[in-house]
Amino acid sequence: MKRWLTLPIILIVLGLLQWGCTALLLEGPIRQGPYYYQILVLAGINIILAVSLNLTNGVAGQFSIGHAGFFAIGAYIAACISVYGGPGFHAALGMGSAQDGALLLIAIACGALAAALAGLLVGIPSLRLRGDYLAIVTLGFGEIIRVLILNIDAVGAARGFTGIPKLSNFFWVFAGVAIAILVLHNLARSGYGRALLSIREDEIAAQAMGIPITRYKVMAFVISAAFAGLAGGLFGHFTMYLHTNSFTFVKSFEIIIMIALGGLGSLPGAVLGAAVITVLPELFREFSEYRMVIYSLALILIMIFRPQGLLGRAGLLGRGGRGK
Amino acid sequence: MQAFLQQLLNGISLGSIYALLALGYTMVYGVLRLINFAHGDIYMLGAFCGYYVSRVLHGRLESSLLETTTVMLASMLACALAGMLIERLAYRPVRHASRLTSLIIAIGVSLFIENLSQLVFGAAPRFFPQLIAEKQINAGGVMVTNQQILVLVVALLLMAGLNAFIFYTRSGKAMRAVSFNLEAAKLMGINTNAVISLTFALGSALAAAGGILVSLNLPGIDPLMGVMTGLKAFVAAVLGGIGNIFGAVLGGLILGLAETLVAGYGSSTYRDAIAFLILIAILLFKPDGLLGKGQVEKV
Amino acid sequence: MALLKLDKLTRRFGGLTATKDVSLAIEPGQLFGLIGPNGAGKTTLFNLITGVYAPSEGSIEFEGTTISGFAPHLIASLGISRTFQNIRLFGSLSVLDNVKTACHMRRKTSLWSSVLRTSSFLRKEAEIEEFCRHLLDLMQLGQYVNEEAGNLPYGHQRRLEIARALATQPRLLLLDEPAAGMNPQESLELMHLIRRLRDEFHLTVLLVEHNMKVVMGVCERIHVLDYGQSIAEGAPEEVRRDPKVIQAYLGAE
Repeated sequence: MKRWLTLPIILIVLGLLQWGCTALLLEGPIRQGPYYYQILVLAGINIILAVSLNLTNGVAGQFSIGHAGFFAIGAYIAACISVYGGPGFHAALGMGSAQDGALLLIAIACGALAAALAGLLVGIPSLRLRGDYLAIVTLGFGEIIRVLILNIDAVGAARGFTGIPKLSNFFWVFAGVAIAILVLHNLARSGYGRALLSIREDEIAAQAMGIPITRYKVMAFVISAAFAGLAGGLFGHFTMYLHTNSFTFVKSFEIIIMIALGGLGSLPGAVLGAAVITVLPELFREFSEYRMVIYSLALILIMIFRPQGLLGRAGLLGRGGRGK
Repeated sequence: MQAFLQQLLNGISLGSIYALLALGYTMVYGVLRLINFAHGDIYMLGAFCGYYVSRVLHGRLESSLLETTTVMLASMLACALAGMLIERLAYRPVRHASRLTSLIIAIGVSLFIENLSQLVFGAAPRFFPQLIAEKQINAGGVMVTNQQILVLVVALLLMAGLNAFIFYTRSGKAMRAVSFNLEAAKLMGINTNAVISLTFALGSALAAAGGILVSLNLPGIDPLMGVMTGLKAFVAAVLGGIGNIFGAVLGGLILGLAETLVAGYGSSTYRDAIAFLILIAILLFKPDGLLGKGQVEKV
Repeated sequence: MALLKLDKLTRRFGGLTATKDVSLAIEPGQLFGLIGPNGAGKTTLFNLITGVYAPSEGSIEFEGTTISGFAPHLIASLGISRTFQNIRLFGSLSVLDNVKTACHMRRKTSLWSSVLRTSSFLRKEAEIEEFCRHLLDLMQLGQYVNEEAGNLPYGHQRRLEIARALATQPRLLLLDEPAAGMNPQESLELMHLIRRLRDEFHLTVLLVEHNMKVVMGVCERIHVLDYGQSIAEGAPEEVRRDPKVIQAYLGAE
């Protein structure tokens, strides 16, 4: 199979699946169809978040705990584009599903770009520093973003942002998933991926091999932020409503739990972790108040007894090689 | 001018709470190079512990000062044990794994305590009993409450005690040795596990004291009260130079003042953001903190 | 013109002076030995040359360019590569990936072609693979390409460090105690190998060793450090007879 055919084929398959899902879950005989459909889409969004965070935290070994901040920027900027630019866009180009798709693409591209820019702004000062500081800076950054949004009336402030058009669906979300996985997988298999891994393993040796470590860390951070922004754009145009409560650092921690569960640095692991963390709580709805207690306990136990995660390669984190 | 003095006083009072918490972060970071994310939750546990103890005690003791002291000591003891327990169960098994592993575990422990507390104590705020009747004292136009004085006095006493312990006792010397070089300290026959436990116990006791002192002034306590305060106290520790005891106190005071002044003269909605802005600024211009020393990695 | 020239290089750590006024010049193609008792400042000198530390005073010239104060990755890109005394491999990567990582600087493809896996990217990847396998064969590690580097025995790890340093295609190779932990037979074989590498890759080699015998057999010129200061330089025979060197190694009466 020709390589360039991969993406078109995936998109065709997704188109068929979208048609099938709509027929079966949304308009079909299954009573709880719309509910399952929603879980499926949210799982897709979480997969994008997890695989993107995996690039910084797993591959490059830079511990960011503010991913929800980039997710929020993407969501709010994309929503602004379609809410404030949408009427003008439709007035100029008319209504229709093709126009909706184009508007969505423009909106999420802007969201991703804004998130990437924020990644650059946060990354340049903090990635020069020792690892622990990055953790706390990213956490602080996420909170600053949240406080800022809470103070901007144009995006609903504390009331929440309403009136976002429903442009996103299963097809768009999983097209995003496919692109995120393809890009991050290919990146990890290239010289850039090896360079990032070497930074995780030993910064001093990586530098001695000619790798400009700060530039590469920032690069990973920006790419990761861009995909989080993409996930945000897809999220807002699916739920049609945004509130800062969806973007607290608990969300950031949830994404970390996903990648730790699957095994830090493992792409399939991140996908699995995201799927499990999205679906599991829905299966145990009656225990929902215990959900976070179980999550956190599971996180502690996994890191103590199986630090490589469910799918991760043995020994990835077990060794104390990266400085103490 | 009087308004400014008033803000200054409030800021110092808030700052000394941050300082008490920052000490715990800095001490643990000093010996283990670990950001103990659960530290803010210990502070919360301290407040809840005080809440339950004072409900049991209420009206049984003659003087309110005796009652407050008992509540505080009981809560400090309980939290010291909790801190040691966390270290023993969660951090010690991964002490030799990568720092990333222990950082993730610290996040896990923090989430665990917060969510378990929400189950056990309920998510709704509780009203902390008024152990000491509030009295206002007018000092030249500046209103000082007796509770603010209590906060300052207790915080100062505890910090002086900690300072004496670290610099004038054998255990304190051992702690400094471990913080300087854990492996070398072990080779010199220091029981590093005991020292690390002690560090957690001391830090947690200070956090518990902070929790009680804050609760005396607060309308209510809730299981998530430690989250933001804990993060800010960590910022205070970084600001002063993490690993440095005096830095933690200095950082706490600066942060407390900055916050009260921003809330008083600017917008109170941005109050929570100021700590992180300070953090980013300090990392940009003086990453080792105000009193921190740069470290050179040995190659 | 000398390939590498150190001029009065001094580095202090707080109150400790690790190297003081060290000057030396290495000619292209030379196999140059740097010896001295433990703590003489040999590794510090390496760290200064490769940019891990900045010198407190003095300057470093490589091919006529002053490089003191440059970032380590820039110095590597100019053609200086090194191994580490306390082995610093990328432990959980495979042996092959360790070497491939070091190729990244010289054989880079654009980010886009890496993500899209264009044919130019795949061609370059194939080139890198072939080059790295060749280097590993040369260092007798051909059969371990897929092993995790951290699991290799100690001696193999030292050879992998050399393979990785060669993959950056340096003109000057710095080897920090490459024979540490090896028995006399293994050290001898390694020294012959180093000489062969020098010839095959047209390298200049600066070798740190505290075992005098190892260096004497292979180096053409030797510089001796003691307590951070130069005490002698010359051909192996001259250095061996130098009373100051004998005193440094055997101690004063």
